[in-house]
Amino acid sequence: MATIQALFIGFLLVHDVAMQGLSPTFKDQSQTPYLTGCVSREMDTFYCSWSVGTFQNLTEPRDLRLFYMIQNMNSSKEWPECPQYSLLRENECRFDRKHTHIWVPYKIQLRSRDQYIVYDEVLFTVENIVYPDPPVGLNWTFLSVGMTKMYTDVVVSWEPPPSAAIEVGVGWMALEYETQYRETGSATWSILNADQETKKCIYGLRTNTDYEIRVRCKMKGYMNFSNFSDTLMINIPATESRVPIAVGFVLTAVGFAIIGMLVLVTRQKKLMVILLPPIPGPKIRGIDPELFQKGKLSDLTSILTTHAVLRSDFYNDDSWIEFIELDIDKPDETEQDLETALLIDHSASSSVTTHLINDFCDDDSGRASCCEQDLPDPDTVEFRNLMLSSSSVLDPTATPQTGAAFQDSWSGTPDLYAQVRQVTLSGEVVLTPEEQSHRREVINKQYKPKTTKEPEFLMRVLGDSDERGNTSEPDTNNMSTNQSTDRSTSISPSSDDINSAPRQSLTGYQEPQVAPATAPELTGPPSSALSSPPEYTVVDGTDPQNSLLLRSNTPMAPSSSHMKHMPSPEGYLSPDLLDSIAF
Amino acid sequence: MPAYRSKGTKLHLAVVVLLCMAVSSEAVGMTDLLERVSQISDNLHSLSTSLSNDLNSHFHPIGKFMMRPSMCHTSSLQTPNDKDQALRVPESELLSLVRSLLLAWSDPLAVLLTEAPNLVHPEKSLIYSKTKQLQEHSNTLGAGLEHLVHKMGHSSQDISSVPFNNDLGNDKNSRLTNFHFLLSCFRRDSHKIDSFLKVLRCRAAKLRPEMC
Repeated sequence: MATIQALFIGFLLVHDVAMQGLSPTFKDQSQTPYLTGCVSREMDTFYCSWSVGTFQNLTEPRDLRLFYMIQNMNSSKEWPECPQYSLLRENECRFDRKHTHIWVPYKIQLRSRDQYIVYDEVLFTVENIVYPDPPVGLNWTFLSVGMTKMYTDVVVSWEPPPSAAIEVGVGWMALEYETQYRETGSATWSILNADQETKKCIYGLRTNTDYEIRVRCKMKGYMNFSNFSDTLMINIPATESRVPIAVGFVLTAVGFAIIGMLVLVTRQKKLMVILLPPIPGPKIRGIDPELFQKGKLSDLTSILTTHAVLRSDFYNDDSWIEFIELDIDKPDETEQDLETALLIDHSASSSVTTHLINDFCDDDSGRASCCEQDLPDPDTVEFRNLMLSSSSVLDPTATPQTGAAFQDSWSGTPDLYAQVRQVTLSGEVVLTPEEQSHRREVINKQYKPKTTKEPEFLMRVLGDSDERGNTSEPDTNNMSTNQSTDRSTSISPSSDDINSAPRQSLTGYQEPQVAPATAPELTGPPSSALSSPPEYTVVDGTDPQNSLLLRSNTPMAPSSSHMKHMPSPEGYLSPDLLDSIAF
Repeated sequence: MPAYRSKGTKLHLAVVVLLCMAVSSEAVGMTDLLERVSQISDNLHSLSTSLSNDLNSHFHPIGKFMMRPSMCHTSSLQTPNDKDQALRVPESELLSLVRSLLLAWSDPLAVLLTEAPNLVHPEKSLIYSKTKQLQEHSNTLGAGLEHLVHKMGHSSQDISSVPFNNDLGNDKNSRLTNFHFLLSCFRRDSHKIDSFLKVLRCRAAKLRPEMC
């Protein structure tokens, strides 16, 4: 009897074990009840559910029972039963928060009613069975759109699952969200990186296209994703049509292609010149780089010497003083008379010189050296010398003037003029010696009264045809306004002889240099001219052919014959005509 | 007499104001510290998870290993096991528990690090590098927690030590198995630490609810 009982118990035990071990095979033929899984939604509670299998006779609610064991607790033989069988669903057991322990291994067994048959068993820890609910409340907002209005960015936002809202808010559960999107009709979903924010930016969505977006979450650090949320459909319409943009791009590309072809095809110089004209060289007046390469030396030197700008640079400093200096240094030359002629007729009083100097300093000649300390001293010395010499040589009719009446004397004294015999290459003007007691005219330095600002020096040659207007006009104006009747008469064309001597005056820094070098050298007045009163006129400038341009004057009786030789009213005088003019 | 009183009240007021400022600044600093510490524990947990996955990818299922968390050496530490408990435990106790847990893993991590190059696993170099990172993060977290405790003014002596048996086994397979088991224990504990610190952070961030 005991053996039979032992055998029976042994058989039961073997059967038990066999049932446990062989239960999978049984499932092929007839499914025994089994646990379908235990799930926690928020790491605070969980539930386990099972399936009846193919056994049809286990429809009673308590035919199958669930028992659990927490291994940490005192492992008594008696396993507690499910704390609460689910009311709403069958075959489910809920473990509330009192019976839920995290980080603690659970053993769940599915047993028959009489607990003799253990159909199934699972072992887990709760944090490993956490499957959150999907996020809810998917919404999207527009972020930005590209310039071509073809691509756009959106921000998708959602809420954590309501079942886990408290746990997430408390910090008990950390959720990670994964966003997926695809174009409607596409087979594959684009998956974005998961992070803990409840919003996600999606970049590069095409406008006017339907997109589907869905989100799912899982607990951070674990593998169990939730189900996907409800799919969000979005479509961002483009505000303007894309056609003009595309057309613009196409046209630009075509334009570039055409230009490229043109450049390639038109390698010939002609068309290249038309399309891409050569850059003009710098405009240096009178200097042609071609001339440097191919021109003759004589042309080059003539240009260099006659060029107004160059001349001004060369003669910029103390040009008129240089003339005087040279004359002083070579007393033997006949040019000495030049100086005397150049000088103003006045007394040798120092006051005169100081006035001179003062006036020099007052003007706008633009020469800084004028007012320098060192300069006036040698100048005054020279001036005195010159003046002394001039006064001795010059017309004794010139009355010495006192300083006070100096200004007045300028307008009062008769002007002294001298004929220009020759203009040297260096720019000096050679005057004829005054052999006539008759009205001699020297080339004066005109000093305006102090009221006017612009004194004029007679030593000026209008070398630049561009400046004839500037320089010659004030010249004549001054002549007309500031001069005494004598002067005016002397200058008036009726009484004056036409003199081809250029009136030289220095006004300001735009001083063209002495141009007479370009002019053909004036020959000395023919002896016959000496007998007749000289005729003078104002030289306005030089024309491009380097001829002297004289101002036209009212006709003069004695020089009517000469006047006929005068050219057009502009008064330009060709070198040929110069020779023919009788002095 | 009134002069003395006014002086005393003035001094008292100044002291009170200074203390308030200190406390408020301390509070702000503590929140930031908690945030930082929580981030580190987050990284630690993610790292341990990825390491476990790497191990699982090629784990030879020699007798499908059934995890017995009760065999983890840190099971003796009594920590809150559910949300309600965790929410009720005072801050200082929770912190000391966290520190104890972390301290209990300093030796085992060293053992794991020495074992990693000798593992019979195809990805042992990757496992080695990750284990090393694990140790570094753990040390950083420990230092941060100590600093936090000092700032909070609690005693830093309430740490219980946990004995650890560093015998991983004799043969290669058992060593691998034990390695895997140890890592799973660490993963569980890193999750504990992370959860506790996040609870603490949310509790402290009353001024900034967007942190939770």
